[in-house]
Amino acid sequence: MTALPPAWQRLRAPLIISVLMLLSGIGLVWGSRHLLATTGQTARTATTRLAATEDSLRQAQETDRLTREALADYAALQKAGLQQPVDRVAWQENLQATRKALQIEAFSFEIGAERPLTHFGDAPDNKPTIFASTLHLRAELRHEDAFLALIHALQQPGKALRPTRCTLSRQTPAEQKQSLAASCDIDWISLRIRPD
Amino acid sequence: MAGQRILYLTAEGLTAFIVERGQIRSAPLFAAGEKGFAAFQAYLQECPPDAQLSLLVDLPDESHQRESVPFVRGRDRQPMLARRLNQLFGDTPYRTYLSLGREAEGRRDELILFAALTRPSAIQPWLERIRQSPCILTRVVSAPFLSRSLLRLETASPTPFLLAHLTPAGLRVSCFDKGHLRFSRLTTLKSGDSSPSSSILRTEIQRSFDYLVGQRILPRNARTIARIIAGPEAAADFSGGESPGNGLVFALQDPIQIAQTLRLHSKLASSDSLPLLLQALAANPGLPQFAPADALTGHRLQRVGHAISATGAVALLVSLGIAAANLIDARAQRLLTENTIELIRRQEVRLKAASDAIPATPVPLDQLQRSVSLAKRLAASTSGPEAGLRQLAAALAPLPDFQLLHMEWALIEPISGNLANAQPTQTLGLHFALPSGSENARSRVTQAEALLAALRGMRDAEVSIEKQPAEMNDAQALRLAELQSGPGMPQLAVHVQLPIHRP
Repeated sequence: MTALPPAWQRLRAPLIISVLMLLSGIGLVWGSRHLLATTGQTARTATTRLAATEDSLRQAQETDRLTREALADYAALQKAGLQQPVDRVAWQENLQATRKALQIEAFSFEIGAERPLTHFGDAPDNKPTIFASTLHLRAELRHEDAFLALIHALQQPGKALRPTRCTLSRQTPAEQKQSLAASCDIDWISLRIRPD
Repeated sequence: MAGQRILYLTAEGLTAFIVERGQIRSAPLFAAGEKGFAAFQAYLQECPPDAQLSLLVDLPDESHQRESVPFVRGRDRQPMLARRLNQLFGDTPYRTYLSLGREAEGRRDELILFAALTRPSAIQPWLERIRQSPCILTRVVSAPFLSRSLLRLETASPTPFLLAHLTPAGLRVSCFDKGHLRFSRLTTLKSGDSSPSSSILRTEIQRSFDYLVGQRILPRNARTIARIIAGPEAAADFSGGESPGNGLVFALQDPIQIAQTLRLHSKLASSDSLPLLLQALAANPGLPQFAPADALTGHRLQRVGHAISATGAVALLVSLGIAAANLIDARAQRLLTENTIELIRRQEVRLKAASDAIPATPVPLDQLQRSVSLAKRLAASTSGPEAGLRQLAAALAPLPDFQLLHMEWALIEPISGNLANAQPTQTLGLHFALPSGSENARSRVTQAEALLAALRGMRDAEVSIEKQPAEMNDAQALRLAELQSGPGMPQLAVHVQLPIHRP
């Protein structure tokens, strides 16, 4: 390797010093940029976490409000008697009492098996919470007012009885003493919410 | 800061000086010859590395040539001047030029003073030693060009004048015209004669004057001032005023006054003007210099090195600035992060409190909500057919003599969607018997229309006809047999849909 001429050797020290300064500068800039990027990323992460925490807090507050509303409604429904199970004995007794009171000669009924009322959006594995037993009632009445009296008598306070269908047909007097044939379907609604 | 190192070169040899803050220190004379060269080489080796040296040449072998050349600028100027220098002083590398400005008339050519040190052999050995040393030669300046700096006040003098001063090399007489050098002549004195007699000075000045007059550089019939740098003790010798027979006038310049102007603090021992020249050289970086390019390679490289170092320093400074800005930004980001984390902590505490405060539910909340909502809706629709029937009775009460054969009331659940939110409706299916027979057509239609009108008058009712007399329906065939149907056969069947009004 040929040695540099003495004159050119004068550039060696400035070149080395400049390269060192340049490398130091690059190192400083790189290091500071890296630090800035790291702190910026940390700040962004913290901001995202704060937003998520605030969102969770809002959700918790909303859940709290909805839960209290639902429990209040549930309590009101319990108070209104919706939680009472179907009492077939009492129902029969009431029907017989109504027949006697209204002097109905032709009178028949059938209490169907209790069935769950599923509602839209329920998960398949959710236990049913609302049940209905349907009373199918047939009677022959003398006049229209007796029909309304029959409906009134069937609806008992403190029980969730819900008529869903009623028909009233006029019969020829020659065929029947009582000229109106009535039939009604009445659901006994029962709300049963039990913890799993 | 180290002082400036100036090498003073005469025909006798070379003397090194250091000029620092108006003080001048000198080394012994290095006599021309191998012994002196060797001593000079040893002196250079003792100098600090990269010490800068200025060479002040005070030799009689210096030539000046003033010429008028076409005014050229740009890339062609340097080649043209170099070509002319080659033509004038082709046998020496130590040459320079000085622009004296453009002529006022004609095509306004440029006046150039070309100058050269015409005995390179007197300079070359010294420069060779400098080149081989760690020292750096920055410039080679001649005493005549430098002597102009001694008389700053006279630079704008409109008439030519002479300047005479003594140096260790001898008596130098220079002529300046409009502040620019026109001529210079060095007369070597006897060795060691630093204070020659006034008659010698007068004679030499007169000789130079006569030559310049002969060359028509000085006017023949006008007064020319010869300024002599000498102390007050010589005043009596030059008090004769104007020389007889010509216009040469002598005027003394006090070296002490010049030294004060140049801020030279060293004591002047004699009439020797060398200290003044050295101080002027140290203070004046912009003088024409004679060194060839290769002799200044070290200096150029040193300047390149300084430029490289400066570039590196600037890059480092810029980097420091950027890094400082980044660090400030990073600190701000860190503070922001700390504040955010503190906020997160507070919100997490609130979140925990809010989560703990949520009451327990027997089933998942959404299931509870749906169950409760559906149950509420079912409970709200337990009123049965009474309201609808009473509404129907009220609507039909004004009509006389109609016969309702069959009535069916039903709750209609919504077909799709969320049962918990949708409201059921109630419907009434009504079958009426109308007067039969062809003869009752008009009363049949009248009664049907009255019934329909009454039903349509019910609040919020939607009435749809399922069956009506053939007289009221042009799209249906009218047959006599059908008009004779029995009394139990409905002739008007209507479907009425009503909303459920909550009690």
